Amino acid sequence: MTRLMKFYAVLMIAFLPSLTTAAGSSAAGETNFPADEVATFANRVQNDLASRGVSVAIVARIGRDPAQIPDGIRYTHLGFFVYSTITLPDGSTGQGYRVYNLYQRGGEPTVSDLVQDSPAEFFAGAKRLDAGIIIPDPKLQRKLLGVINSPTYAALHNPRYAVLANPRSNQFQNSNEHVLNVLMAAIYNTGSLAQIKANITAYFDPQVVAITGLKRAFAPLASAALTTQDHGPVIATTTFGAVSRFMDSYDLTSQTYRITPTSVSRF
Amino acid sequence: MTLPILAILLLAGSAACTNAVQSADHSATAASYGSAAVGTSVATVVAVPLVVSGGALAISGTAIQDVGTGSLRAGSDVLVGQPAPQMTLAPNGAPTLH
Repeated sequence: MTRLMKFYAVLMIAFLPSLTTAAGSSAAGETNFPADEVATFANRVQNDLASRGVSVAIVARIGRDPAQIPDGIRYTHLGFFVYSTITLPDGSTGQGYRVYNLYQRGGEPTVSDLVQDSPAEFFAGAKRLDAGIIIPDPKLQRKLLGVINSPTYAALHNPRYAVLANPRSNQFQNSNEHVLNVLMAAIYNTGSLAQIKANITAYFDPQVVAITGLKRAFAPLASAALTTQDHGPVIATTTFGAVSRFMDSYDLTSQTYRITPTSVSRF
Repeated sequence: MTLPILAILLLAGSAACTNAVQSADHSATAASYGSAAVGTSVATVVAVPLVVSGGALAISGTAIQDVGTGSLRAGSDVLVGQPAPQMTLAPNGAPTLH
């Protein structure tokens, strides 16, 4: 009976690609583009950030097939690009960006880890070479750097992963919600998760994701990471667009733009 | 016979399965090095975040062109009837850097 239910759940999910594809927060295993293409694009992004003197940026990638991402959502995964002194395995050092982000664990989809990787690794799992960039106000960049360098960064991680985690609750978390938590910690100079959630609830408008009740009910049978039990009647989650709108609303942003292999453009 | 095959294909495309990939041991990259490797070398990278001033970094400026994709305008409908979980504390004032 359980197997039958799971089978039907899979069929239901098949007709709801938007739910299964909203996350895209896995570390890269297989790349969708030749390695040199990914490397060139990753360098394009970090050279662009460096040319603007950026210390900390919020960068988004498209980790899922764009045709299957729900309306209103372009990017699926956020991370912090942090300008750093990097020591390579051979002992040589240089400056570049390291990516601080949360990845869904491969063998355990309901668990996540905080991972630091390179821009090339970050984009290796992308379905399109397309980066959404938010450059915070310089003052906010300094505050973000303070949080990322502190124990608060890890303390704001909840390893219970859900694709569509509700940012107003700490019951589950996805990569974008962790970025939002860190952002709020920096804005308000606090490591109090309760205070951060209160401020998110008051000031942050998450992205509404339209899902029918039947599909919502069946989704967790296909994967526990598709749970929506932390939501009320409306499912809403943290996205690049929602974070951009929030930061723009409160004058927290220096620049928001998009980088592709051939262009740099405003939204 | 068709249905089980369909189920397998769908499972393979589900979030759980498509995400079942492990972090690769890629080598690290520094912007100032001018190349980013997506190879498979084992990396032991130590990175220390830096505070930099804009003037200190002049690599390759890129002009911004206005094309307007509109993706930021989409979404964020009102949350009608949505409960406010974990609202155990009063919020602070609106976000500000001043």
